[in-house]
Amino acid sequence: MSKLFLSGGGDIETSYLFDSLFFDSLPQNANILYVPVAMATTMTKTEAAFDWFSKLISRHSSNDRDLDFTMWNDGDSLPILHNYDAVYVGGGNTYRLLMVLEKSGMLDALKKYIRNGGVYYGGSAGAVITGKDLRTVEEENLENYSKHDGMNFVNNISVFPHFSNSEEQESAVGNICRKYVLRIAALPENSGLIIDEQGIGVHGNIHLYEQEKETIFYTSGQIIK
Amino acid sequence: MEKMPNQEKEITRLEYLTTHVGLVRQLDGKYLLAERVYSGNIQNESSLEHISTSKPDGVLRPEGDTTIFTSAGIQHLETLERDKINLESEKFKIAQPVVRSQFMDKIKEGYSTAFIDEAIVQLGVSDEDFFSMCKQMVIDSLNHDTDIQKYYLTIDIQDDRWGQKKFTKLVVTLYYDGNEVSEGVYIDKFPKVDGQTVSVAETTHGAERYKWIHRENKDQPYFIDFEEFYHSDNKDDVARIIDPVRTATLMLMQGVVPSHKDPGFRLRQLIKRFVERNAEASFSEDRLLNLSYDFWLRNNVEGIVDKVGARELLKKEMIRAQNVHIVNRVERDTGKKIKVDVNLGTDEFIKRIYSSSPEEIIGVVKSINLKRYE
Repeated sequence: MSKLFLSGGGDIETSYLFDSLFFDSLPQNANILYVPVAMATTMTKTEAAFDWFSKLISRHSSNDRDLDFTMWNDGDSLPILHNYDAVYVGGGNTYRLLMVLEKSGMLDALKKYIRNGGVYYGGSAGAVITGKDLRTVEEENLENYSKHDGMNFVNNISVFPHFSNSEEQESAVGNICRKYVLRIAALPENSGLIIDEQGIGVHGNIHLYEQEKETIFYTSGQIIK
Repeated sequence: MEKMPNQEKEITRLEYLTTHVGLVRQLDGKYLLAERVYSGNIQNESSLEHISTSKPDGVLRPEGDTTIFTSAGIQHLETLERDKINLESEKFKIAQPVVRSQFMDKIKEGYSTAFIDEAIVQLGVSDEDFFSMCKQMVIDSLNHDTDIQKYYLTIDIQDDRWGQKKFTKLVVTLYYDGNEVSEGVYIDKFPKVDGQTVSVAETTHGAERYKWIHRENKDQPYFIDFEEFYHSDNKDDVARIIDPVRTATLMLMQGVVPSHKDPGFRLRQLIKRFVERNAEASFSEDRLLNLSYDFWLRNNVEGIVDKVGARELLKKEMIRAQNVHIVNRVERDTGKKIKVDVNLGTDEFIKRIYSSSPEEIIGVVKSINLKRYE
């Protein structure tokens, strides 16, 4: 059975507790495929991305727990995803991410991997693309990309990451919800969703926005209907 | 559509660059070398001999730098700024040993995770100075092969980021026989730590790759000094074995110790890959370490840890990597976990598994071709 961990984003410390749920669910010596393509891929950024993921892994490793990873980038040949214990898709520009994944064939490979029982972690942009619609972050559509469809693994819900409970953001999410007729899960940085056979589980506090309906507030342990 | 001033500036700059360097734009966006400029006897474009050579930085960067390991010669700028050197008119050449971990799992003949990045860097210089450096970069390659048909260049404008520093750079890449050989980079507004900006011009290439691309003997492998290992027809497989131990040796001699936290984690990853990839070929780790150590020493890498110390650390980590491999195999083949400390020596590790595990697990362990690294 597949399992998706969708994080609201944030730095290594902010998302530590949610990330622990992901890393603790993996085998002791798990090998993870890290996909940083939401960030632009000049040399320095790529090496810095490698450093960042090592730092994240280090935070969840110990002397008898050997996590390892391989990095996949735009231009690399398509890997066999089932050779990995999990796929981790990091944050950056969501539209760039969708464009690269689609062009490379990785998007279809990921959909197949998840449908066939794969374990997927999406941080920020990596979480948004698993939702129904990308227009929760439409300001990132710098190249006027005409496609907005996500992979739709969250029961027709779209994902809004880095959510803060400010009036400004609440109003922005409400507007997107009405404008595009979407159900939107707004995830603060220290929260996330875990999707498995139990349903859509909540970690931390999240808000579910739905047109014409009152916003529902969920807390850790609850399941989104 | 009306042209924006910045676009106009870039178009003028590109036209000026192609004229100055002597390039002809093709329909596919590539640039060929102009015959009128490059056929016949070519004179050196600019005298870069007067630029002094800087001592390379350590492979491990201090906390707070852009990357954990030095990944390019131009990162020497971070060292200069840390030492409070005024960058305004700084010029240096450097042969910097670098690590680019991003290549770790993509190695084939012609590539390596660690190499010597030979760079010429000039600060506070104009576009024209940069164009002259690019022309010299082309001439340097033409000195190896004058057939201008074998070359082309690409020109890109890219956004980049070093930690908090964001800037735009002009990148000129030279290809020979379809292979990327060297690169010129111009940053007109590189942000300094004092908040001011300075222009940076750089030409650079990986020394090993440069020599390999311009090799006269086409059988010459990329890893010079390691020819004795190339008995197989498949150079990619040999490269995949040599690369991790050669990079690991560079880290070991610079004082990195394997661990689950960086920088030791990177070293652990490399040694794990070496053990896995060398399982069948069984190249001597002692010999590979010796050759690697001598290579880096010859290229101005300081041996903070001597060869004996590096070898001990390598072997200890290889034993651990094999134990991790055993745990993995058992978990994958049986779905069961072994709760034995992977940091033990091979004999003790196996003994404890045999005394505490069911037959199913013992059967899997017995099927693994174990190596004795002690």
